[in-house]
Amino acid sequence: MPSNWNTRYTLLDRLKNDDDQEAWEDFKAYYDPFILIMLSKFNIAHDDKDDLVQEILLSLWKSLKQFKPDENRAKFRTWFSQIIYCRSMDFYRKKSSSDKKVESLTKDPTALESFTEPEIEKIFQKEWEAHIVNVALENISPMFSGKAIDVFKMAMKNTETNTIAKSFDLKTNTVIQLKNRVKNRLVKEIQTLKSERELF
Amino acid sequence: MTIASDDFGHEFSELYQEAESENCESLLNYQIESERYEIHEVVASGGMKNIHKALDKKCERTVALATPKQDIDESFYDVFLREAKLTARLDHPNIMPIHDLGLRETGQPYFTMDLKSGDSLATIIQKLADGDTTYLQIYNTAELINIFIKICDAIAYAHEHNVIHLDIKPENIQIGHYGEVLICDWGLSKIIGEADYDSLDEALFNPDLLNNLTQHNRIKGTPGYMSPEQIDHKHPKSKQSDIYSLACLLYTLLKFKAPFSGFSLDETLKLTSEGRIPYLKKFPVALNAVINKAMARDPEDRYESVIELKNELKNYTNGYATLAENAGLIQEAKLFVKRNKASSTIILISLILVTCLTLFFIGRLQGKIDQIKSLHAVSEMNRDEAIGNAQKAREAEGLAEERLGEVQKSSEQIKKLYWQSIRNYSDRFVYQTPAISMHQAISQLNELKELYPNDAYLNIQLIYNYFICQKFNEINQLNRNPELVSDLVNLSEKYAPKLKQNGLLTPHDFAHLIREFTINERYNLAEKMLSYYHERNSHADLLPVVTAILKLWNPQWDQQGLKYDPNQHHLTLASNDIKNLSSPVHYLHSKLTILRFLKVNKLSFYEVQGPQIAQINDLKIHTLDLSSSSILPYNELGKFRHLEKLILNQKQFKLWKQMYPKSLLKVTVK
Repeated sequence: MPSNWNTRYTLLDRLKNDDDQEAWEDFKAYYDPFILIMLSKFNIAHDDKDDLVQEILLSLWKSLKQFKPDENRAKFRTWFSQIIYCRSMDFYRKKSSSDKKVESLTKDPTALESFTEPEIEKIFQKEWEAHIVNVALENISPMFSGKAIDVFKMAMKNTETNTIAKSFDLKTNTVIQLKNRVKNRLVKEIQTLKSERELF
Repeated sequence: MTIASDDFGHEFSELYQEAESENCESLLNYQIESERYEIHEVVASGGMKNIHKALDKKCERTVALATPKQDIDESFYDVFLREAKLTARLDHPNIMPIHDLGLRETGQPYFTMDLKSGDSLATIIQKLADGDTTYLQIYNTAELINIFIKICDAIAYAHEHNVIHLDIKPENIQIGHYGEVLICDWGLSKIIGEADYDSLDEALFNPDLLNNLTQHNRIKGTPGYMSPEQIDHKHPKSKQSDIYSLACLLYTLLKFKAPFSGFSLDETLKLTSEGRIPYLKKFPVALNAVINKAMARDPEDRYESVIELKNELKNYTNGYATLAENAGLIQEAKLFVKRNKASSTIILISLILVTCLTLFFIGRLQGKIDQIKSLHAVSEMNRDEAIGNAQKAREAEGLAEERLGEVQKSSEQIKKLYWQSIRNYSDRFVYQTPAISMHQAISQLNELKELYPNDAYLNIQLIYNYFICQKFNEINQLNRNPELVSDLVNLSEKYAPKLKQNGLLTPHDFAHLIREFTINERYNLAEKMLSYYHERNSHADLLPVVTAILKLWNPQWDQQGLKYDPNQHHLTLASNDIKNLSSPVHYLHSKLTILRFLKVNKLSFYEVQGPQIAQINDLKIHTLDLSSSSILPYNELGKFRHLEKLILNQKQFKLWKQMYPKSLLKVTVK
C-alpha cells in the first residue's frame, strides 16, 4: 500500500465536501473507465452500462462521504468491488420488476449471480492492477518517443536485446538503458497512481 | 485506450507490485560537496535547469552554477550530466567553459561555469529592435556579422569534434562587455558519427524524448530556429541542422527579429517543415542567397560545412560574389568596382587625364608641325625644337598606353573570376549535380565568348564541356581550333550521327566511344560524361559503359570477371586486374567509385586480393560477400553505411571476432 497519506487524506477530504465540483470531476475521471471494464467482465449489456456507471459512481461517493479513515477496516478492493457488485444486482432487480419484458436481461443477472464474493474481489484486483499499469503507460508515453516505448514493450516481452537493437537500429547498450529508463518512469507513475486512486 | 495497451496491463501486471528503483546510476560517480558553493539568486532559467549566481568558497570567486529545476524528474539527471560532460570536452574561446561538476546535498547534480557580465544576444537584438541608440552604435551590421563569424568558428570547432548543438539561438549566445562571444547551453547537443561514448546514441538522447518536453509535454525547442528535420524527422539531425539554425540567426541579426516571428507556434512549425524561407527585403542579393542556401528544406542542399558558410559571408564582407548568389559577369564587375573603389576611381581619372593630355599634345604637335612647315623653308633653326616636341608627344603616347594596360588588367581579373567559376562547375560540381553544373558552365563560357570571340582556349573549353554532355553537333558547328582536343573533335564528328532523339548515345555506342579514348587526360572526362548521362538517362543499363570505363582505368584488365545481375542487383568481382575502381587520376577527380552508377545491393569478391575496399565504401550495398576472397575484414567496413549482412569465411570471421567483438553487423560464415 502506498505511504503517501497526505495526498489520500486530501482527496478524501475533497470528496467529502459537497461543493467541490472539481473533486467530483477527478473522481469520475479516475473510476469511470475502470467501472466500465468491470461491468464488461460481468457481461452487462452495453445499453445499460452508462446508467449503471452513474449509479455506481454516486454510490461510491455517498459511501466515501461517511468514510472515517480510522474506523474503516475494510480493504479498498473489498469496498469498491462490493459496491460495483451490489449496485449491478440492484439495477437488474429494479429493472426486471418494473420492466416485464425480461427477455433481454435473463442471461445477465444469472451470470452476475454466479460469481461468488471472493471471486469478484479476485477479478477486481486483477483488473485493477492491469488498469493501473495501462493508465500509467498511457500517462508516460508522451514523455518518450514512440521508439522508446516500443523498445520497452519488446524488452518486456523478453525479446532478445540483440534482436531489438537490430530492429530499431540501436546499440544494445542503448536498448538496455532505454528499457530501464522507461521502466523506472513507469514504476514511478504506477506508484503515483496507486497513492492517488486507492483511497484507503 | 487501445486493445494493445489493454493487453500490456494484463500481461505485465507484476509491474504493479514493483518498487521504485534508486537514483540514476551515473550520479554514483560523484561525491556530495555541499561546502564549496554558496548559492545565490537565479540569474537565468532554461528548459530544465536554473542557473544561479554562486560563490565558490574554495577559489573565492563568483561563478554561474547550473542545476536541474526542482520539479525535474531524477531520470533526467543523466541528460543534465551529459550536457556538462559534453561541454567540458569542447575547448574553444567561443564556447562557455565548464569548471566543475558534482552533487549538491539535495542529491541534485550541478555544474559551474564562468559568470559573465554582459548581455545575451537576444537582449541585444531586442534593444536594437527597440531602436536603442547606444546599442545601435556599438552593434552595427559589421559588428553583428563579426559576432556571427565567431559563432560560426565555435560551431565549426564543435562539428570537427562531431558535436552538433541543435539549439543555436540568440538566447544561448552570451556577449561580454569586452566583445567576447560565448555559446552556452549545449543541452540539446548530440554526438554524431562514431563517438567515443558508447552510450550516447540517437534514441537515448533524442531531444523529443527528453529535452523538448517539459513535464507538461509541450515542445520546448525554439521555433524559428529549429531545422525542418528537427520537426518532422524526415532526415537525421546533422551538421546541416546547425547550419540551418545559423542561417536563422543571421536573419535575426540582420532583421532584428526571428524568421517567422509573428506566426503562432503551430504555424511556425508548419512553415519550417514546408521549407519556407523568409525573404529579406532591402537586403543585398548576396546575403539573401546565402540565407536561402543555408535554409534549404533538404539538408543536402545546404552548405556542406559551417566553414563554407562562414567563407561565403567573408566573401560578402570583402566584396566578392558569393557562390550561392550565382553571380553573372555584370554582378562580378559591379562587385569588383565596389571593393576596389579607390583604384577604380584612380583608373577613371587617369583615363580622362591621359585622353585630355594626348589630345592637348596632339593639338599642340599639329600646331608645331604647321609652324615647322611654314618655317622650314625659311629656316632650319627651329628644327631642334620640333624634334623635342615630337619626343614629348611620344612620351605622352607611352603614358596613355600604360594607363590603357591597367584598364585591361582589371578586366583580366574579372575574366579570371569567371574562369574559376566555370572550372568549379566542370571539374567539381559536375560529379554531384551534372545537368545543372554543365548548364552553368556552358552558359558562362558562351557569355565569355561574346566578349572574347577569338580566345582559342575558350573554344577548347567549350568543346570539352559540350563533349561531357554529348553535344557533338554543337561541337561540329563551332569555329574550331582543335589543338589539345583534336581527339574530341574527331570523335564528335564520328559519333554525332549516332545520337538518339534524346540527344544522347545508346549505352552501347557510349561504351564504344569511351574505348576510343587514348590519352590519360580522358580518365576523368569519361566519368564526368557518365555522371551527366546517368542523370539524364537514369533507367539505361549502364553496365557496358561502366565496363568500358573500368577498362580505360585498368588497361591491363582482360575484361573477365565482372558480373552483374540486374534483377538481384548483385555485382560479382572476380579479377585481380581491376585495381582502380575509382579514377586513377588524383586531380579534380570525384573520389567516388564508378560502380555507383550500377544499382548494387549485394557485392561479392571472388579470388581477389585487392582492390581496396576504401575505394568503394560509398556504395549503398546491403550485403558484402568476402568469403571467397582473401580480403581481410578491416576498419573500412564501418564506412558502408547501408551494410546489413557480411559474409565471411572461417579465417576472416575469426579475425573479425577478435577485432570487433561488439559489432552488431549480421555475419554469416561460409
